[in-house]
Parts: sequence; C-alpha cells; structure tokens
Amino acid sequence: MIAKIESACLIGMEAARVQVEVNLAKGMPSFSIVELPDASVREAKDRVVAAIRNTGFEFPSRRVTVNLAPADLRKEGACFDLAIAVGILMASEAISPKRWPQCLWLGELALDGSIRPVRGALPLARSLSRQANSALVLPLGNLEEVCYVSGIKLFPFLDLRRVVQWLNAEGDPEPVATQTVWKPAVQTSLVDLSEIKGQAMAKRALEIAAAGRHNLLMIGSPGTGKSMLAQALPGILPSWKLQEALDATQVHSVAGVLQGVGLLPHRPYRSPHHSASTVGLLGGGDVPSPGEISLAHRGVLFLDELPEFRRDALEALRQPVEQGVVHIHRARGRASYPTDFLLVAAMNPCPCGFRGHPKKECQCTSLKIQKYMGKISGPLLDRIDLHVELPALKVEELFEEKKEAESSAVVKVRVERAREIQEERYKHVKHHSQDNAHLVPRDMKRFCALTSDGEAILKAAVERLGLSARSFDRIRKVARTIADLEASGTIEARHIAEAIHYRCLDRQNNF
Amino acid sequence: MNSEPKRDFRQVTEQDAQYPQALRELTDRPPVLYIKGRWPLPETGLIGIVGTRGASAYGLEATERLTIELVRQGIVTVSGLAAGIDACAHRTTLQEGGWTVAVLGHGFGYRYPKKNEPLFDEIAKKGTLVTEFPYDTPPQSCNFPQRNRIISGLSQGVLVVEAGHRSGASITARYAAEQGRDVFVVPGSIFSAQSRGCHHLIKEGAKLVETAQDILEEYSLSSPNASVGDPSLVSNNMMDSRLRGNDSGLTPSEKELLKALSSTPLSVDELVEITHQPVDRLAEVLLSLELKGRIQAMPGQRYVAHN
Repeated sequence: MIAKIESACLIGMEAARVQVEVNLAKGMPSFSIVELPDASVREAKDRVVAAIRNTGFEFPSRRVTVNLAPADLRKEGACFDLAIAVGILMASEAISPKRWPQCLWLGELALDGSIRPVRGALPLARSLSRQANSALVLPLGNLEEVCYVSGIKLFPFLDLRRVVQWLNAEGDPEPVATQTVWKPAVQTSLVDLSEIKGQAMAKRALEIAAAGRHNLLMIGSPGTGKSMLAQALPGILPSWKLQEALDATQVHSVAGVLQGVGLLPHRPYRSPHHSASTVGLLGGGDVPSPGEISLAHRGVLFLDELPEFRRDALEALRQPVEQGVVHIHRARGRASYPTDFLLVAAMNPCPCGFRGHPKKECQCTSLKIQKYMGKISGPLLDRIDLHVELPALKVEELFEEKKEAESSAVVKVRVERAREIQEERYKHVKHHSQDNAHLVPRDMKRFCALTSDGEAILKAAVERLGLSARSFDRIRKVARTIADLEASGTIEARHIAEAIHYRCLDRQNNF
Repeated sequence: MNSEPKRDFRQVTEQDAQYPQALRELTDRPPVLYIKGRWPLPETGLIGIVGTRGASAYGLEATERLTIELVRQGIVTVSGLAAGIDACAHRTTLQEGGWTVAVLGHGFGYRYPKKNEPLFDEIAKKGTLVTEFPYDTPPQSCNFPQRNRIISGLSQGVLVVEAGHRSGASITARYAAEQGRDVFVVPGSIFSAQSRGCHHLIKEGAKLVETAQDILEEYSLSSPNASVGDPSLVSNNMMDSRLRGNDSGLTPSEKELLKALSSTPLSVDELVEITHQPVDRLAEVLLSLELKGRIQAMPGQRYVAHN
C-alpha cells in the first residue's frame, strides 16, 4: 500500500514543497527513510513509532519505506514527523478518512503523540500564502505566530489523536480564520529619552536617525551615555505595522529563537558583544541560519565598542548594510536573510577613552589614536550618515535635576510625521525604500536640491573645515531629513548647517 | 622606509669641530649626530619649545604668539616634531622666516608622525633636522624620551607650553634642569589636564612666562617693542580673527553665542543651558561662527572662542 502526503521545509526564508511517500511492503518488519534526510529526520522513526503506538494504533509489522522527494533537497528538522505518521496510518489503512483536504502537513511529534511547534512556521506559511489555495496543518503551538498571515487556510492541532478524529469526521473542514486585526504592543523601550541627562546634540541626532533611517555612530568617553541613547532609539521609532512585524518575526522563527510569543511585540533591539564571530553576526553555520544582523531586521542593531569588533566581521557588514540582505553560501546549502536594520554604533574617542575629556588626561599617542580610528574602514564609515561626539558630563550635571527633558513619546510623534512625509514623497519612485537614508544618487538631484544659500554654506564648510568629498551626499540626505522633521519642503541653509555638525569624523583637524 | 637608503644627510661625530659645543657638556651626549639641512648651529640663542601632542586651543595660541616674539628676536627654536605644540612651534617659526631645529626620535629612513610629513620636508629645506639614530631606526616609544635630552641639550633654555602630568615635555624639562638649562613655563587653567605638568614645574621653581620678554631678559636680549597684545606680533591666522574682532557682520544670535564662549571649551549641552536655544538652532549659529573663524571646534564636541 502506498500513501502520498505533502509537507514542506525551508530553504533560507522560502518554503520548498516536499512529497512524503510511504510504502508498506511484505517482508521483514523494518522502517527506513530515504532521500537525504539529516540526523533529526532519521530520528523521526523512533518518534513516529512511539507516537503512533501511544495514540492507540498498531504500528504496521511490514517493511515501511518513507521517501522524501525531491531527492536532491537536503531535508532537516523534525517538521516531517506528522506527515510521516499520517502517511503510515493511511497506508496501513488504520484510518480511512472521510475527507482528504489538499494541504501541507507540518509538525514534530512527541513520543506521547502530541504535536510540538516547529521552527520556521511563519516564513513557511508566508511563503505558501503567496501560492493559490494553500492550506496548512500545523502544530497549535505555532498558531500564535502564523495566525496573522492572510491568504492561507490553517488547521492547527494539539496531538495526533485529534488529527485522526478530524480526518474521520464528516463535513467540510473548518479552517481557523486568520486574524487580520493586530495591535502592536506599545513600545516599552528600555530607556526613555527623558531619563538621559544632557547630550542634547546626541538626542537630536537620534531623532534624525529615527526619522530618516540614517545609521548613527556615537563617539564619546566612557559614561557619556552611549548605550543608554542606543537603548532609547526603539522607543522613538515609528510604531510598527503588521507587515514589518511579520518580516521581523519570521527571521526569529527561522532562527528558532521565538519563544511562543506570537509576533514580536515590538521592534527587535540586538546588541551583540564585540567578541561575536563573523558567523554569529552575519549568519551562517553548517546549515545556514540567520545571524544577529538578520535578527535585527526592521529593528535596531547596536554595536558597542565598534573598533573592538573583529575586522573581518566589520568588513563583512558593508554589503548587508547597503543592500538590506545577506547571502550566505555554505557547502550544505545557501540562503538569503533580510538585514534591513538601523545601525547604531558606539566607540571611544581613543583607546583610553579620555580624548577631549575636560578633566581627565588622554594617555594615547597619536599613532595609537590613528590605529584605533583606522580599525573602522572608510567603506563602512561611508555607510554611516551621522557621526556625533558626546561630550563628557561634568559631575554636577549628573546630579542636577534639570527641567524635564523631552520624552520619547513626544519625539516619536515628530519622527512618525517625518516618515509620513517621506512615504508620500517616494510613493511613486520605483525600486526605492521609503526613506531619505536610502536615496540613490539618481534621485538625490530631484529630492535633495539645495537653495543657493545652502549650497554656499556647504561649499564654505568643505573648504574651511576640510570636509571630505564623500560627506557631500551624506550631508544632503541628512539635511533632507532635518527639513522633513520641520515639514519644510525645501532644504534651507539652516538644515545644511545642522547636518554638517553630524559629520565630525570628516573634519580634517579632528581625527 | 625606502628600500635604497639615500645619503642626503650628513653625520657629525664628537671629534668634529662642527659638533655642537652645547652637547659636549653632556655626560650622555650622543657620539654621532645625523643631520639634514642647515649646519652648524649657532652657539647661542637656541630655545627649546615643547609641549603636549593633545594641545588645547589655548596652548596652540600661546605657542604661536611666544614663538613669533622669539623668532623676531633672532632666536632659533628647537623642538621634537611631534604633533601639537611641537609642530606648532616649528610651523610658526618657518612662517616667520626663522630657523627651527627638529630633533627626531628615529632614523631618517622614516618620517613620523605621518601628519607632519610636509613639515618634515620643509624643515629639511629651511631649517635643521637632527637625530642620533641610524638611518633605519623606526619610531619607537622608548626612543622619544631619549631624544628629549638633545632638545634640552642644544637649547639654552626650554619653554614648556602645555604638559600633562608625567608627559614627554615634563621629561624634557627635567633633562633641562639636570643639564643646567633654564626652564620656562606657560601657566594654564587650573582645570586643564594639559597644564598640570606645567603647574608642577612652576611649583618646583621654573620661571613663569607670559611674554617672550620673560625669556629674553634671562639672556640680556630685550625686545624693546614687544608687549602683550601688540597687534604686530600676531600671526596672519590670528590677525584674521582679530581684524574681524569687531562684531559687525554678526547676527544678534551669533553675538550672543560668542559672548557665552571663551577660551575654556564649552560643550553644546552647556551652550544650550546658557543660551536657552534649541540644539538645531544652536548648531546653525555655531557653524556660521566657525566658518567666520571666530570659534573653533575641539575634540569632544567642545567649542572655544578665538579672542
């Protein structure tokens, strides 16, 4: 007897359909799985046998062969368990279903027959939802993350017994309606802007970064509040939309770090330690899996102590930062993961950290400082629009209770308004992400035209301050965002003037 | 390092008549000196000018002014071609058409620091480069204190402009004292880390210097018309800002901000506090003042006014 049943597995972020064929033949009782299964798939045998017996069925005393097609696809994970078990029950005629819906079967079996949630259910469902008439049998535990995907029928189950009951029941299968209404949690970021003392300039830079999605580098002595500022950033980013939440959550789903929370309640904030390996940051591994930069997709990636990161890791960041996607090629497969994050980096002004400190003396030689700064290559810096120096706070300032600073909520309103302006402006531009930071040179002329005053001030700054040519475009983009924050249609001289302040690394005399 | 050493320098040994007399007095004098540029040095009228690499705007301004005054009195300046005060002293001397001597802590096969390469070449042409290290000695931190004894040894007196606690400039001052040279010190703010070493030297009996006259009078070299604030003694750069010293051409907000700024560096936060202006507005005014040459941005996002 033979049974065919469909399942799927993930290749990168895309679903690949897998045919599970079960054949029962006469001969010595045995159970084998063929066609490139990995260890976890081979171990499915033991799980499936136990699950079938503990659900109250007989495991057939026949030669059981399970074939996973296509043959050349590397199958991994335990998501085929349910398909194999149902296939065996069908083939052995232990059940004779009254209905046989066209659907894909997904689920890992526990020994007692219950169905465990699987890794990557969300990207699988999203990928399948783009095909017509898809339906998915999946573990109940995965429902929370998958239920917001539209365009796919879902049949969630808790255990194998309920699956059998459902197959044996009469009538049309009732899909669980996908929930289209989703409410993001109010972003409870770790730090509110009003809690940070001083640093008016850095706070403003943070606002601009959030409004135009510009990457940001903060330079300051230890204790100036770099980490706190970074932690406050998610709190001023626009509230996120369902599509973004799905985008971010599916990466976490693939990485298997989603702990049954459904969709991520707010934007991810990742701050990998500087000892992180290149693979840990970018993703990879024997079988590719997403790294920190993909887990920060649609959120914030904070790299503290930027020059302490491994040089090769920093260099490898260049392409993902630019393109918003990382391609990973390994012997056992290739994958592409999205990496559309806001990069916030922090570093000391010199190895000892006290350069420019009003009280403490810097012990570094100019060679040491040069080497330290040199660890961050020009091409990476090129992808960071805003650099801002944080002055060290005086002791009095730390204790002083000043008038309440602006709260994150107030800033967020301005940020959201600036984003709306950008969305409106770039609505009809092709191949364009909807923010100022990702303007391509071709569109710069059209959207970042300067007034003659602005041009004069930019020219003067380049001459007097020794700004490098590469900062030219960056300044114009940042000025565009500053203008958007004011809802000003044109870029005025004052916008350019402010933008120039956020290019401190380009000043010849400074570093 | 060049692969083929070019012999575009001379060497002078202790036995040579051209070996500086001043160095013969030292017990730890270098047996050989390698030289590029003008030689021999004059017997008298050499003053060492040393200070921190991380100089403040105040330190650079003081160096500039004192160097100009000294050079106009025919003084030859000696320093170590490091960044900061050293480079400023060399550069100012050359701008004034004076003679400057740079004592290196490495062989001629290297030019260090990279930033000073043009200055290195200019001094080789118009002044003197001296080193005790053979051609292919790389710049090593252990060699720099050693060359400081030559800076002080060649000089009749050493002027310390800004020196942090236990800095290289302090070492030079110590050598100078041991070698029987005069030590002159420019005082700084009591809050400034860069002046801590200077103040320590003053406490130990070094001479406090306000004008070049304080140095020149030790050698009976008076400068009759030199006085503090004499406009003829400020360099072009400072002249520019001074000429524009009248507040015409400044907007009211620029004037207000300029009033708040002094030679003590202030951060943007402090300026926000003082002027009650929002950051974006302040940033604009700061830039326009900077472009007009009235203020300068220092590391750590602090601003000082040129007075």
